[in-house]
Formats: sequence, C-alpha cells, structure tokens
Amino acid sequence: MSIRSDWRAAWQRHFFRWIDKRVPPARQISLNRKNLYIFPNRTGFLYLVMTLLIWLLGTNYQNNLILALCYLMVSLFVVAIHHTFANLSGISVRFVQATPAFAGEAASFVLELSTRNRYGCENVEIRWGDGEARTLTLAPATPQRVSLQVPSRQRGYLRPGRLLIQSHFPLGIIRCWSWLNLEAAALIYPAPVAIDEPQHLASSGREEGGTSTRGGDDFSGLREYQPGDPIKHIAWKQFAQHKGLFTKEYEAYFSAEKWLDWHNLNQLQELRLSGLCYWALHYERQQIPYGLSLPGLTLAPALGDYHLQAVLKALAQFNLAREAGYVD
Amino acid sequence: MWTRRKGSAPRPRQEYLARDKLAWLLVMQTLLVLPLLINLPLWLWLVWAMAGFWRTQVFRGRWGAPGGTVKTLLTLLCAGGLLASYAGKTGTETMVGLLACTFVLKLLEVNSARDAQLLIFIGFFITASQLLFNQSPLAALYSLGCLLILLASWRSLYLTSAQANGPRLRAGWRLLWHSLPIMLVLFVVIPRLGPLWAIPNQQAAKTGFSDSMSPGDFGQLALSRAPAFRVEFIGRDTPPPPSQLYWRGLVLDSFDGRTWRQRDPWGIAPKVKDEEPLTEESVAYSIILEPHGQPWLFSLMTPQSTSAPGNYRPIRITRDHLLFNSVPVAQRLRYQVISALAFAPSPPQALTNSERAAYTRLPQGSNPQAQALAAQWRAEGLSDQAIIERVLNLFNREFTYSLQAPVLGQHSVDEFLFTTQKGFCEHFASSFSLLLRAADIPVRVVVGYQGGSWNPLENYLLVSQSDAHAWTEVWIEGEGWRNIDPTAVVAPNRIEQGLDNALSADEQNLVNSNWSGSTLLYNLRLRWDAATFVWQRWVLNYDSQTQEGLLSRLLGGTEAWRMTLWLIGLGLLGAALATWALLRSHQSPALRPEIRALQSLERKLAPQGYVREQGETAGDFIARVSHSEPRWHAALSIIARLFEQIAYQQQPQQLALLREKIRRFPQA
Repeated sequence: MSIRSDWRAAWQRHFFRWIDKRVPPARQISLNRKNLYIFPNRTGFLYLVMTLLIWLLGTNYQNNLILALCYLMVSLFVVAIHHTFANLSGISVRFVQATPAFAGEAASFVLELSTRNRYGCENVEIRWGDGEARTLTLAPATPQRVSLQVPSRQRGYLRPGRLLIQSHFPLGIIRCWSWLNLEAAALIYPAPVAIDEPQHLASSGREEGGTSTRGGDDFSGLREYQPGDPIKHIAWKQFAQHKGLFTKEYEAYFSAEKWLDWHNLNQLQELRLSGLCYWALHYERQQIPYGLSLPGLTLAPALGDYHLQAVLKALAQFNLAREAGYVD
Repeated sequence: MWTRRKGSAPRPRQEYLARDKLAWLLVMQTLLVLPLLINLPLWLWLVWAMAGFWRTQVFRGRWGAPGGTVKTLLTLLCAGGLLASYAGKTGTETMVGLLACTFVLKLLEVNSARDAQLLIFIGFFITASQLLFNQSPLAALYSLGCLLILLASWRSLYLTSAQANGPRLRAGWRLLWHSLPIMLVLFVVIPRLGPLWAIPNQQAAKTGFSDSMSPGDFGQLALSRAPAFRVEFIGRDTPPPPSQLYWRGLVLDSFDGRTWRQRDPWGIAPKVKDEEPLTEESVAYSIILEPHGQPWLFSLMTPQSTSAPGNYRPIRITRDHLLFNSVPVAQRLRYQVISALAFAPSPPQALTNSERAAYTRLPQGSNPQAQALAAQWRAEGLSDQAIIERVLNLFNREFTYSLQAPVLGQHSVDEFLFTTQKGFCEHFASSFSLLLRAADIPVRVVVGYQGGSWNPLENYLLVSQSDAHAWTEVWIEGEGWRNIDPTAVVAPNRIEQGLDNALSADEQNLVNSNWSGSTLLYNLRLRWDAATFVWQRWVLNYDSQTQEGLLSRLLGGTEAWRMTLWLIGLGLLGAALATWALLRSHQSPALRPEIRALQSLERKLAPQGYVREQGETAGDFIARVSHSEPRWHAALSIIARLFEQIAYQQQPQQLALLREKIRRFPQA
C-alpha cells in the first residue's frame, strides 16, 4: 500500500459517501446525468498536449489550415464528451438474482442491462469493486444478462458494494463512469470444514425402539411393482425368473438418520457452522436423512436439494443479528 | 477450492488488435502518408513500401512479426537515412521526414490498442504536415478526407462489436460533422498570435526569376501559367490601365557583358525620407504573394507606405522604391501598399557623381559594336532624348518579338542587335540599357511583372509567371527616373493585352496547351482561380486584421462586453442545440412498430376519456373500451387481434393492415 493508493482509497470513501446521498440504493437504476460522471483520462490529456503542439506548429508557421486542424481537435474533444456520455446515458441496470456460494468461493450476480440508445452501446465495462470486469456491447432494445463473479470471504450476506460501469467509447480520451448502489446481496454459506462427526444421540433421543419407515437403507421385502417406483429398486432377479415385476422395499429406522446438532459440538461458532455444513453435504451425498438443530431452530430430518438449501441457509444466517437479511 | 483468494481479479487486456481494426489502420496510414512522400526522399518510399508489405504479410498470416533485432536494424537504417538526407538541416522537412519515418515504422509493431492509439496521434501530425506543404482548397479537402478516415479508424479501435465498414465511416463522419461548427466558431473568434519563435527557413520552391538576368531566362518563365500573386485594388472595381501595371520587383544595375545583376544585393539602403509627396493619383492595393523563396516583394511605382498584418517584422521600402521583406517569402504573404502612380512634380535631387558613374558603368571591351554605335550617336551631338528615340525607332523598324529567340553567345547584345534581331523583353531591355549606358545616359534594368489578367468574378488581378517582364528606367535630367519599356515599342500588344496577343499563332501554341481556346474552359479556369482567391483571402490569410473587420461587421463592434455577450449567447445556443440533438437522437426509446401504432390509437381515444392505465395491457385496455363503447366493438376487436398476431405470433406482415385499421378507426 503506497501513500498514493491510501490517499486514493480515502478519497473514494469520501466520494462514495457523497454519492450515497445523491443516489439511494435500488434494484434497478437508470443512468442519466444525475449519476454519470465524466472526465478526460490519461490518453485524453495526452491528446490535449498533441493539440497544443499542433497549435504551436500552426502559429509558428502562420498556417491557418494547421490552426484550423488544431481547433478541430479541440472541438473533437468537446464532441467526444457528448458522445461518450450519450453512449452510457440511457442504460438501465437491473439486479436479477445472485447464486449462493460457499465462503471463499465466488458468488455470481446476474444483472440485466438494457439501453434506450438508438445506436446501442459499445465497449461498456462493468465490475463490482474488486471483482471480475466484463466488457459488453448492448444492442438497442435488447436486454442482455450478465453474471459477474464476486469473491466471498465469510458466510452471511455478501453485498458486493458498488457496481462500476464505465466506458471510454468512442475515442478513448474521455472516461464516463458511474458507481451504482444496487440492492444486491448473495447468501454465502459457511465454508465446509471436515471435523469429527457430530455425535448424535439418535436412539436415546426420541421415539424408543425405532419405528420403521419407507425409504431407508435396509432391505425388508418385495411388493408388486407400481408405476412410479424407482427403476433401481426393481427386483431384476425375480423378473428374470419370470415371476413378475416386483419392487424391493427398503426400511429405514430413525436410528439411521443423523442429527446435525449444534449442541453436540464444542468448537468455536464459525468452525461449528462449517463442520455442520460439511456433514450436511456429506449426508446429502450419502443419501442419509439428516436434521438440523440450532439454538432456536430445528429442521426435521429429510433429504433433497430443498432440504439441503434450507439447512445451508439456516447455517448461513445463524446469528446474523447485526445485519438484516433483506434479500434472499 | 476453499482457500481464500487475495487481491483482485486481473483486468482483461485487449492486447491484440482485431484484424478489421488493423485493416482500417493500414488504409488510414496509406492515405495520410501518400501526399507527404512527394516531398520526401526516395528511400522513405522504399521503407514505406517494405513496412506496408511486411504488415500485410503478417496480417495475412504468412510472415511473423519482426523481431527485436530486425526492428533495431530498421531503426538504425532509417536514422542513417535521415542523417544522410537532412544532415545539417533543421528545417521543416527534417521534422516531417522524422515524423513520416516514425509513422511508417510504427506500423510494423502495432499490436495493442495502445500502439494503435499512438499511431492515430501521429496521424494528426501527419495531417498537419500535409497542410504545411500544400494549402490549396483541394489539399484541404484531401486532408479533411484523411481526418474522416482517421476518426473512423480511431473509433474502430474501441469497438467491441462487429460493424460493417459503412456504419464505421458514417460514425466517423458524425464525429467530424459535429465538430465542424465548433471549429468554425473557434477559427473566426480565437485571436491570432505571431510566431512564438523564429522558425528555420522552409526550403520553399523557388519560382519566378532570380536576382540576375541572362539571355533566355524569361523565355522559360513565359511558359509557366503558375500564379505569381493576386492583387485586389482597394476602393476600385477596375484595374488601372495596363501601361501603369508595372509590378517592380528588383532593380538590376550592374552589367558584366552578358548578365545583369544587382550591384549590391544586400546594401539596400532604407528610404531616406518621404521624398515624394503623395500625389492625387495614388492607388491602394492588397497583394497575396505566392511564396517564391526570395525576399523581394512587388509593387507599383512608387510605393509610399506598406503594411503586412501578421508579418511580425516590417517590410522595408528602399531608395530604389522597392519593397523588401526581412526574410525570404516562404509562406504565402499578404501585404498592402499605397503607391503613387505619377511621379512627384517637384524635381528630384540630381544624381551624385558616384551614382551617375554606377548607372553608366559598362565592362571594358564587351559588345564593341553596340558601344561604337552609341559613341557615334553621341558624337553626332544628339541630346539624351534624341538618343532614346533613335534606339526606340531602331527597335520599332527592324526587330520582332518572339519567345523563340536564338541562343546568344558572349557578346549577347551585339549578336542580338546586329544579327538575330529577334527576342523578347529581356533582350530589348538589356540592349536598350547597354546602348544608353554607352551613350553615357544613366539607366537601370527593372525586373518584375507587367499586366495580369482581371478576374471580374471577384474583382482581382491575377499575375502569373508568364507575365514576368523586364523593362528599363532612365534618368532624365530635371525629371528623375522614368519608366521606358523598349518592348512596348516592338510589341505594343504585349503591354496592352498580355503575352498571348503579342505572339504569332505558332508561339501561342507553344505557350498554351491545345484546349485553352475554349471559352467554357476559360470560364472554368476563371471561376477556379476566383475560388482560389476567396480561399486565400478568407482562409489562408485570415489574420487578426481581417478577424477584427469580420467580427465588427458581424457583431456590430469588437468591444470586450459585446464579444463576451455574443460568446455567452452562442455558447448557450450551442449547448441547447447539442442537448436537443442528443436527447432526440439517443434517448428516444426504440419501440416496436406495433406498439408505436397502438400509441396512435391511444392518442385517438384519449379525448374520449379512455386513457390506458399504468400496467394495463393493450388487450385489457381494448377490451375495456369496447365493453363500454359497443359501437367500436367490431373495429377494436380487429385491431386487438391484429396487434396480438404481430406482437405474439410473429406475423409482422400484418403491420400495414394494423396501421391502416388504426388510421381509419372508428370505422371497422
């Protein structure tokens, strides 16, 4: 970190505080003269130096045509400001959705950009703070979706900060940009960390003896095939012996299901959550029903994507009192 | 996978240029560099051809890009070439040569957008150098074309989508078109400064005559149609009579038997005092002089005062009534002169003895026959006046005017007088002066131009190289220097009507090309020259004085407050126009045609109190209206069906019908 970049960061903080007042966060933002900023870039200043040199040439040789060329360059500079502004003005950016990710991975944010500009927009660069940059071309009257990756650090809600949208088109001498304060957040699950399996007190816990229920691991018998039964459960041996189509039945016991119980772990909070996340993923892969028990929240054992996401979401949102999760 | 990533993602870099962008750059460079190469040494052509060929081969994927060694070698070679061509010169051409060299070599290693951007910037300088060499309207037009291509390829650098060549060119034109009005305002309004530092003399093309006159010099000039200068007479719409249009350039007063020279080319004493009081017959005129690479300027007899706005050092008037610029005229120069057409009536001071000696000096032993003839006249006791008349009579009787004068030897005047007797102005002026000097009459040869062709379209006089002329000035005791043109005696037409009328039919063909007899072409030439004159006057020589004149005519004055008000007004107007144009062209939402058609239906229904609500679909709206207005039911249901077919069933062919139905609404 040099002094220069420190100074830059401080200036940017100040600047963001100022534009926050001007442009409140929203799910959809249109670019117009209220939120677009414009300034020559380094190439632009070089261009002005060139213009000055040509002016010197024209003045010293008393050559009116070269002076006219110099004035044309000056007016090109002015015209470039308008054209660069017009390229971005009229774009509207809408936050569509964000896909969740595990902490440390990149979450992707899906944005939809469209423009009212008759000629479309060329060379539009968008980037979240320090995330990946994308350069796009917008065709007139055709919304375009982009997904941008933003690296995450910790579980909870990832707010990617301001979205930079900028362009140097058409001449590359003027930079027009805006920092959009989009109401966008991605849910970040805890990073899975392998810890010891949470000791579950299944048999001692609830219903004594264990009642069987369908869908478990242990083979219990055959029954006649009914449409809709999974193919892998068909008793092919019996079918090959021409005894008819049967479905193998399995039984599961409550004793076979797992509980991800917060109280049975004794690590630090974040590590506990990461462990629970790891085991939830493990059980899901092993097709072992699992339930979640957190202080103030219990999810009954089950399987499937929906259940897994509910579990992960609960883990992600656990104890996030300081920050209201307003976006799913 | 789950480790923390530090730092930001690398920004994508546009390292390599797409082929279409490169193709535009190639075309742009070729166009820009072509007019320059004419003025540059031959080896630069070769470098350019080589670089262009190599680049094209790289472009086609045949050859690899040049490596570091090759590039260094090429740079060294070019540096050597520059050194060889321009060693010791620090003028404009060196700069342009260096620039062109850079431009050409840079092409070989253009890979990234950054390189291309640099190439574009050099392109602006190359365009400026084009204008350094040639400032004709055509050249300016060509440069404008170059700028168009330059802008189109510049913009192409930053394109992220594929675009055809036509739209690229149009977009470049849009940039140029939007800039031109601002440029014009800046051109008119921004004050002009003088040169900030002295610039090395440009090696201007030296046309016209030199500071000496030998037999045969003017014959070549007479064949050239190139303009020498253009004159505008202030306060009069017709030129003075041809007999007064002697544009004096240089006085040659030293003769070595063959060549007339300036006795003391740089000992030109400034005019002592305003000796001649201004007579009533004076004429004021403004001359735009083509660069001729010499310090002398042209004026009518006798210049009284002169001014050259924008020329940072004054023009001097010498004792011989000549105008001299302080540096050779390398740029087109505009100056104003007030001349007295008649000599002052008061008798001038007599010549001093040394002056008299100088104006009658002849080299010993040269042209003995002529000298003997003059001595014989002198011995007859003839007066100065009688001797002059005798020479003129001699010319009138026995000599012919011809551009095809035979080549003359060492005693040129003797050969001319007694053998060939055929020649043009310089022969007559030269032999006349020699005879008079031999008779001890002070005389000097004057070279310059005579006459010119009047252009009635813009009321100015065009003086061409073919109007180059030589005549004499004779010292008449008690009267001063008097203009005597011996050619006028032989070929009065030459003076009255110009060169063409003084020549035989044969020689006219020599001077003119075949088509010059056509009236149409003559008129075209007249018009073209008038356009050139207007261009020179208003564009090339638009200086602070013209500026002030124009501004005060346009704005009613040039006081600071008035200028400020106008500038603010113009600025506001321009800003308003720009905003309006932007809003109109860029912000009009691109609506689908059927929606636009439906909007016109909405406009028709609005007066009846039916306004489409926010969020109400077109179908719902039409259903609501037709529900409460049964008489429109049939028409509206057709419209609704058509709209749905177009919008949702991909049947754009129904659009015309939909428009028609909406136009004829409320009929079904």
